[in-house]
Amino acid sequence: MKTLFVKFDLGNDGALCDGTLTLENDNFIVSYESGGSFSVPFNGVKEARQFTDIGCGRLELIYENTPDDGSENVLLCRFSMSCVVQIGEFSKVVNYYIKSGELLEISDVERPVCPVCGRHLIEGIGVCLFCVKKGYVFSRAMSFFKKYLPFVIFSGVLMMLSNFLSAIMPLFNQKLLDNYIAPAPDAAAYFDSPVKGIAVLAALMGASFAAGRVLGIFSARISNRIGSKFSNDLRIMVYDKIQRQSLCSVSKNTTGNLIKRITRDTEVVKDFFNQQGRYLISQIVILFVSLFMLFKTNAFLATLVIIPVPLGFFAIKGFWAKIRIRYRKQWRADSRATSILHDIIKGIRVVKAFGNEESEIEKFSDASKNLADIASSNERFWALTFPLVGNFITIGEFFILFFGGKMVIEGNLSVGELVMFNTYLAFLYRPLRWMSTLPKRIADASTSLVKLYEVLDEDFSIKDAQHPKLLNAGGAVEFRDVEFGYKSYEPVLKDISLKINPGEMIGLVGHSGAGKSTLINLCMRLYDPSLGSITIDGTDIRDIEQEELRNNIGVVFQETYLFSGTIYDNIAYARPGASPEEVLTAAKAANAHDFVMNLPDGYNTTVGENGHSLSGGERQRVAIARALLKNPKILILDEATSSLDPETESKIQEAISRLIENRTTIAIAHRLSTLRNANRLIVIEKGRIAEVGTHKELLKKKGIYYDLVMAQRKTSKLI
Amino acid sequence: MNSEMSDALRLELLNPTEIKLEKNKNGFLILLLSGENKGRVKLTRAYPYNMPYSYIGVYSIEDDEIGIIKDLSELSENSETAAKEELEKRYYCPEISEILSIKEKMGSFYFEVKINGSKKNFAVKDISRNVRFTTENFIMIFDVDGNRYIIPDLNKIRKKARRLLEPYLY
Repeated sequence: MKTLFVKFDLGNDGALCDGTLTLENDNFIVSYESGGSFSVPFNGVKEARQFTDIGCGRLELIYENTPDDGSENVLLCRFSMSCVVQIGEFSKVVNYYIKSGELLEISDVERPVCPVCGRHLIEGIGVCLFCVKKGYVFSRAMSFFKKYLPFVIFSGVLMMLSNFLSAIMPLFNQKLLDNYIAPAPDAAAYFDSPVKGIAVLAALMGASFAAGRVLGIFSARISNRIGSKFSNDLRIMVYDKIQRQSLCSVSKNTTGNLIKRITRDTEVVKDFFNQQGRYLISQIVILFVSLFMLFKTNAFLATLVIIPVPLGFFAIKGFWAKIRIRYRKQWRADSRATSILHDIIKGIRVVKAFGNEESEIEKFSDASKNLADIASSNERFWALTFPLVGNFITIGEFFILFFGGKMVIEGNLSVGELVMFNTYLAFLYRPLRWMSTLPKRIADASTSLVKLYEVLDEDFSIKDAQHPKLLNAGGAVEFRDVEFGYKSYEPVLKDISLKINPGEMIGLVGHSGAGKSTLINLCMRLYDPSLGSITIDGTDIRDIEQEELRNNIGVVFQETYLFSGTIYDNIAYARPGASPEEVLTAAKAANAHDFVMNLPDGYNTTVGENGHSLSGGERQRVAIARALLKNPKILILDEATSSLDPETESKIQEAISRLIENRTTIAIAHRLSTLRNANRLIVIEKGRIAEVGTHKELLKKKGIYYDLVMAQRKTSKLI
Repeated sequence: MNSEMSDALRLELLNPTEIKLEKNKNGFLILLLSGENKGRVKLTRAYPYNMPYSYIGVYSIEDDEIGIIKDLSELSENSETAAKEELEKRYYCPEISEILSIKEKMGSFYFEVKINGSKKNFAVKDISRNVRFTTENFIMIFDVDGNRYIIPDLNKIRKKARRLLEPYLY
């Protein structure tokens, strides 16, 4: 027999430990690295069940013929959340073994740990961020940027030339001073009259200035154009990936985070490659030209200037590190104050209704005062430290004034040379300051890149089959032994087997959180079941192309989302290119036509965020028209009529009854009266099918459905 | 108010003298209420951070509430010990006694901390959401696996640790 094992990390007393759970020769063996082990027989086990506690979990065995309250279960092991996925896989394989007698391999035995540093690898990032070299992050990004590289280099060369032309400007100045304005006795005069010399030099200066500017403009233009193209490429690549991801992957992130990935992170990456890449070239040129000229003019003075530079450079770097922490703190205090404000203003009705204005004012004042304190401390820090640290690097200038001045008086240096020296000195500080902020820019860009890789590397968990089959839906849906959990270790649905005949209307009922919506999510293949299969007309839905599958399924949700656009656009969303007549017919059948015709702009009425706001009932009817236009074989109604007033509901009921004709319908409704026409009702309780039957049959049974109906009658009596 | 509604709203506080909690041979907590065996139960804290041993919900294994124990200290000594042991097992929120380092690596934060005297490393993503101040000076940290760590009083840990954590606390 094969051996199955999994690691766990908590002892029975709750302390951390290294333990291994093994299934071998029909025995579970629990052993601890620190010594000690015990074994439990596999025979007679009905189920291995994983329980999730708070911050930890446990795996228990349920034996045949033991009480339902679990008092005679056997606790195998306890574990922290770090092991939860692996233990979940283990119990899934054990349960499959119990059912089928076949022992499968566990897909993920080991916890994802970095082989170098032992740190836990973060889900969604294939490498250990601690050990990976920054080079990896950037070299991978180069592959996106490769096709723009020649242009960036070209733009960089133009910028380099432009900077070079600016860099020779002090040379002209020096010649002007030393040869014509205040000529030294041995100065060479290139022209017969000083005025002519001055004019020629001024013209040369003007020409190189103009040429430098023109080159600079060209360089910036190329760079801007590439920048926009590159960020457009990146945005589309990330957006495309997000759109194609399964709902499961998308829901791991908040909407805000995903939007940030597409807008902010792509922009940071673009700026880094485009702007900083260009600057890198030009700043290095400026640095070397200035250094060369300084040393060429006077090596002694140049050495004096260079001495304080490394010290100043590190002081600036350290200062930025400190200031960043301070400003991060300020930013957090600011967002806290803003979120309090946001909360209070958004919930102003509640605040007023409960008379809590005073305490809310106090809450905001505290947050605001905290922000003010941090901000003023930061300002103070900045004002006191920056002038010292930022200018330390330039301390060499004072040496130059003294030593340079002395050298001029002694005749070892000309005035022009001293002026030129000072000008190049100013040139030198610019690239140095830029370089001191470079580590931060690299860190920001690598953070954004890693976040983008996370999105780009996400596996499509819902994939189309290699040779997808066409769906000629007659509408027969079957669930076979389906099990599913949004988290692999927490099954939401268990042992779901259900056969729905073509044209049948099925009502799903049960308490909130019982798993009804999950069931229809599986039917639409927004998620794949972890065990079992779902078929439509005998074809596994995993073998059907997703687009084809969804073309055959129509959905009306409880919350209808209308996109920005006209009512026509929103109805035709189901079938782009539908004729105006088809849209009208669908709207008529959905009881939407009358209210739309009453709007001044009819079907051209703009709805959505900045448009005309429709009531809940109106939106619902637009959604039904949408579903009707699609003309699907299978229809899913998820609480389509809740939260509506009785009159509107009756109109919608009428529309729905037209909609469900000749279609297989799966409907969820809390208001049980809505499901009176259902051929069969399926009661879902704690993830399992608890009762099946017609309204009358289930009432007679006096089970869960009966209780639900009675509870609802009681509530309506209360009203 | 309607009598049936008020029934539903009444807090089912259990009479401490009628409660007996003990462990069975398999190590599970069993409730005897006025002598009646209610079978295996699980305990849940209503206020896990500020009142870890008060207002303890008693649930059946199927998550049906049996009632609430106002304070574990009102129980008999044996029951109280059994209940506390059960709670310690159900809630795994290791307490951080010292923070050795917090390093940012490309948007993820790697913590090196001390828990019960031994070193532990964990990673935190999206730090503004996963490091929380729940009440004054009480800090909770969620790592990428979903483990939770607590610092019950920020003022009681070393100054260096406070300085490391401070930028992320607002």
